[in-house]
Amino acid sequence: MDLLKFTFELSTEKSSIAHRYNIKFHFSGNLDLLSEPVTNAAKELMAKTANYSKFVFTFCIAYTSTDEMVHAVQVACKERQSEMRELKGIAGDYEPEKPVKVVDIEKHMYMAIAPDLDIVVRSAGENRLSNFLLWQMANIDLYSTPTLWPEMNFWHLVLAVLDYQRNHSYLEKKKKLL
Amino acid sequence: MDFKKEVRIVCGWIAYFGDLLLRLLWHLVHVIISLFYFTLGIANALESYLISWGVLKRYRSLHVNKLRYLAIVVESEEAYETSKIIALLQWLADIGVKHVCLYDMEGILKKSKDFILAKVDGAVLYGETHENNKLLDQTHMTLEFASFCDGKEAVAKAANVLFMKYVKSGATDQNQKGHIFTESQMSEALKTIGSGGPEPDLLLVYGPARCHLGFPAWRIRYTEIVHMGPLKSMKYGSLIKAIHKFTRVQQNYGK
Repeated sequence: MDLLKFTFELSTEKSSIAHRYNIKFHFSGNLDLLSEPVTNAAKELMAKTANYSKFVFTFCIAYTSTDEMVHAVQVACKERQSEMRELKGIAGDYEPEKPVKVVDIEKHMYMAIAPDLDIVVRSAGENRLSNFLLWQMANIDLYSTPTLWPEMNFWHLVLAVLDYQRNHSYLEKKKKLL
Repeated sequence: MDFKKEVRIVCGWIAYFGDLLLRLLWHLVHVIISLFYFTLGIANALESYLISWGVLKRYRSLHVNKLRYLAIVVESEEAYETSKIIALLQWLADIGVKHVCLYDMEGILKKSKDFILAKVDGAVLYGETHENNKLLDQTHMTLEFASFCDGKEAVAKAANVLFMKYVKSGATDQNQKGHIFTESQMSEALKTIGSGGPEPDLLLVYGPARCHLGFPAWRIRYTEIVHMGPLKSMKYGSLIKAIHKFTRVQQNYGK
């Protein structure tokens, strides 16, 4: 945790990579699970880089996809409950039934800030998603490379993009069916 | 003025030919990549034949009991090829796989469910096996059929089930701090609406791309996803190789 806090504080400094390259930092996950100093450091980094728009770096921390779904469902249900209470106040005992929809859940996902996914790159030759971005991966190119994460470089990214381009027309066709 | 105009025209032509050259280069790179994958495909096909003939010793013994639940994702256009699906299921039955979930995005397999169950020897529909009848579980293959509506839409339906329970319980925001729903409650709600099948250990994707096409997200947390290529070129040896590779995978976390 100390290392995380140190990294976030380092990124907040004016000479850091975030300010040099106009990178907006965003942290997705249940930040309440982190210790208070780390949460504060993360929030400060988000606040200091909020106005940047050239690149957006989303860091998933204290995150699992199933927790993300439950959290989104929870917020959507609380929102619906508030709406029902307001309408009851206006219209007496009338409580209209308005089901929670997929779009209501999606707007409350931790990753709602990010645009639609195109590629997921999995390193170390593994073939599983490990509870990461499961909701967002319906028609996405899952690229698996045997290269270990610390060894990944520009050319590995190029290969991932080329693989995506090979399947692009098929994946676009599938997305339109949704 | 004429000189400036001519410079602009020349620059325009340079940009045009430069763009054309880059496009040709991009196409050339993709041709090379396609040739690479073509060669790889031939090598994999040869290997799968060697596996089928029993030449490769390491694939002769398969610890299939490690594979408790297998999911198969099929491209919807290929899902109409029920003869291929039935052949695939027969191979799986011969290997000893007991529980299979068949998925296609548009629900074509769901519509062919009765036909497939009739044609595959000893297959029963998932959910119709009784807990007490263990003999039935040992000798029969259970088949589950899923489609895109069992994914995100099922989560939305489960959300409504949880919401109605929550409202009826009379709990308010003031009474509840933090989480009001848990992952186990979500799993129960999904079972209530009929979309709560088990998490597959292995998911085989039969299609042009390595993409699970919307298989229910809740169920693939730690599932190994393997791309098998198009269904029309499915091979028994490739199936053995995928299952063999799965049995040797080491997962350190999550299970």
